[in-house]
Amino acid sequence: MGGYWQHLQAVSRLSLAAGLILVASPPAVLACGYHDDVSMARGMMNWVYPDALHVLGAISTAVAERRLPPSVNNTAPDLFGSRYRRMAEALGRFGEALGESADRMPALSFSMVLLEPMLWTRYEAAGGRLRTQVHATGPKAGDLVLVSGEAVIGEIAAGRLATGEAIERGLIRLYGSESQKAAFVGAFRSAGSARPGTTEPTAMSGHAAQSVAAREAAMPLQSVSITARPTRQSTAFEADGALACGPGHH
Amino acid sequence: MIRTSRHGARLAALLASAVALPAFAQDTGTLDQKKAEEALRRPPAYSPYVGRDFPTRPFFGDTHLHTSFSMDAGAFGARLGPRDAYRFARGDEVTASTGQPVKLSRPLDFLVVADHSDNMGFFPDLFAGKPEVLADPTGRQWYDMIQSGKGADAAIAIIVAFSHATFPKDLMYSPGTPAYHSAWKATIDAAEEFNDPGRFTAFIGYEWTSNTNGNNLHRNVIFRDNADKASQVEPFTVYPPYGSDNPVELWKWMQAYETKTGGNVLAIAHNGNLSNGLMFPVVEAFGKELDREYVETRAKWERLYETTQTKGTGEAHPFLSPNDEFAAFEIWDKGNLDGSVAKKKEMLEFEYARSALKNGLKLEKELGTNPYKFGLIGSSDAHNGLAAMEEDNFFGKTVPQEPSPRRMMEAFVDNTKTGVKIMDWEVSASGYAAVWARENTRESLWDAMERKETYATTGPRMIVRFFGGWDFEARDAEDRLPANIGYSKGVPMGGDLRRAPGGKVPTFLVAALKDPIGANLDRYQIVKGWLDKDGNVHEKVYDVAWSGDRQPGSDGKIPPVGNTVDEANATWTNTIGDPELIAVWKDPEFDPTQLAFYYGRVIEIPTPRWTAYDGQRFGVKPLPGTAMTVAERAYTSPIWYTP
Repeated sequence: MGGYWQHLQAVSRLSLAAGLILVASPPAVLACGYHDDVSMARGMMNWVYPDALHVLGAISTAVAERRLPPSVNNTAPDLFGSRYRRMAEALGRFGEALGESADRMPALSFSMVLLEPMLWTRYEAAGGRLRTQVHATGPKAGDLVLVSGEAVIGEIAAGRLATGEAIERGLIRLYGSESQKAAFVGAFRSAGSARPGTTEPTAMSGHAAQSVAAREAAMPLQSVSITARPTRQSTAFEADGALACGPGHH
Repeated sequence: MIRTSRHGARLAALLASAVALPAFAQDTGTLDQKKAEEALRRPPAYSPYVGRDFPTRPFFGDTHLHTSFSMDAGAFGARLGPRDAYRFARGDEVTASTGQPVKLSRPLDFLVVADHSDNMGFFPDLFAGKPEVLADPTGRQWYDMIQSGKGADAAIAIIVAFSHATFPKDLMYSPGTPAYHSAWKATIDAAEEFNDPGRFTAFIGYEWTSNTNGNNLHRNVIFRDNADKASQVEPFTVYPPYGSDNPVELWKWMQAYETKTGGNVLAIAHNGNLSNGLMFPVVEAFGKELDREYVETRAKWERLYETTQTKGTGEAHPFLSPNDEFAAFEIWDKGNLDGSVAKKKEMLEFEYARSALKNGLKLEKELGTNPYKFGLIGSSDAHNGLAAMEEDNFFGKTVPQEPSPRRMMEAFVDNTKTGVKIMDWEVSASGYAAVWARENTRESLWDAMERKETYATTGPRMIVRFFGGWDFEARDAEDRLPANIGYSKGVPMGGDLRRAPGGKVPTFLVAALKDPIGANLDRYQIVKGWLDKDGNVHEKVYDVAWSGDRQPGSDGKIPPVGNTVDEANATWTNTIGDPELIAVWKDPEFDPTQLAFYYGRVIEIPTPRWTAYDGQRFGVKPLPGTAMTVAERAYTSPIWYTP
């Protein structure tokens, strides 16, 4: 794996713990000693959050249908952490998009894990806004937990996919109480809805774009009104994400 | 008059083969006095199939499939249990652990759920809150954490407990504990529930997982029996103090099982390509010199060998067989199972089927018994409950390798200390076991495995016959029912030829039919290995039947069949190759004083590999060097010649 992944492995609690089992356990405990630790941490998610990995299947389906671009296709080392930085920025923009889409910000803190790198991010509701902490150690007790993938968040952050549609398509799964889930969906379902000038998915081919247009006509999930707004850097991210996990630290 | 003549001729032919009898006693194609008299009494029938008493179709299945009951499969996210696995294998549509619907192109005929015996069933029990788990304070704590939303912390605690050897003793799923008993019972119950004699066979089985220092010496243990016997024991494990990593101890367990219950078990050695030279020893094993007892015991219990599976194919290696242009097929030769030790060329001889078959002849000469007189099968070793080994329907080896736009890009083994790295794209969509049995029942299939009347396929379901005898002649290949002739004049795959009658040489009747929904066939080859008078082993590959009108080149080899694969669109056409191949072949270099073996290898025309389907479906570009086409194949069990 490239530097991005290695970087995440080194600091992820789950990853670290999972790594130990491969190194230190007796041979019979885990008979098949292949696989990286991130894979194992990801696998455990399917038990801890039942069927969490169904998100991966939903992403695969969406990519096959050309609804989503394939996520990182590059296994070269991420020597300068640029892939990580891009993802962290997307996570910050995702938080912003949520905040901007809500008519009234619910007092709802939640954590989200991106399955591919097993990267946790915590979004804390405070003062009517969401504070983003990329690279959290995991969810806090009682948090609503979101499970998703890189491409999904990238598309929402870019204004090409609505959060509500992502949930309906299984691209984001929610784990928590029914009231937490209802509050999240109610407040944020329109986040990421296409904005003028951002509807053309640059990462997709022309054919893919046509597929998306055809699909939107057939399944008008994005029924929420859209307000154009500029993309800007999240101050919360700057405070908690970049300082904590910027390339200079790894 | 005519009737008598036909009757007489038929019996004469049958008797001739029985009396001439170089063909060893098999329960197929064997004629004894009683059967001969019975045949004489019966009037000939219009139907040419009346009285036929040999296997008429191969049954396809998987002898090596893991579910969520396997510790590693569960840890990597497998949620499908044994019942799901059987359901899928028999043709039902199921939902994979990544949420994707999946169904086989055609049902399989049988399945062995072979979960790792160590810690069998732990993950499903923990997360289901089974009483056995909750009775332990730590188990209770973990379960409560999960239920209260601290699942991620619970996961960490579980993994750390394993890795630091602080896992509560009472939670260890070891033989003799109520929890283990429950897991084994659940395994058996699932097999019993889905076993449907005549339609679908669900075997009871498990995988014994010797893996010391990362060297793969696994064996799959398959019961002929039903729950009444299998439930009298618990699987043999590796983890001490109940188990051992030495196969000799497994064989003792197998003997003990048969002695105790009167039942039957056999073991199938895992593909040895990740054993780093330990799967087929010729001098010593586990610090003990090979002796008569070792070779006899191994030959008794290890009747079959898994020559192809998701972790590569282990029939032959190009380093060992430089003159075999088809040897470099789905090779994994970079290291052992966890990549902790890089492969050295001198290891290869002791981990590939063909070299083991050859060295077995040597050991037979030295010790009186050939320990490597095994038949060949393929199976999946998938760890997600899905025996989906079709190139266009490949659901991977583990849950992380279920279809996704990323699976071609990631590493399967990546040991940075040794530099051993195997990419996910190298995982093979392979294989299945084909078993020539009379009926689809545990007993009939198991008996066919025991007599090695089996062949391996890398996924397609081509039908392959392979008979050896002394009297096959060219016109036998013109018959539309070659098996009638094959069984009456010779022995099937897995059989023996002995003591060549004066002046005669082995002849082989070979036939192959393409998979009905698959690709045409390129060629049928016979691989011969033999031991010369100086104690040296040799091998040679003969093209015996091939498609089209190709002629052997100056090197004696048939030119390549061609390639119609459109990699970008993952398509091909059956405009090359033939749908069936049949021939009679006579060994041109036979020495009646030399031990030898012969097996068949059938090769399809090139078709798109699963990577090509992924590339097309997900719109992703493969990494440089990714194999995008495959020449699928089948390997028959050998027929051995003993002077």
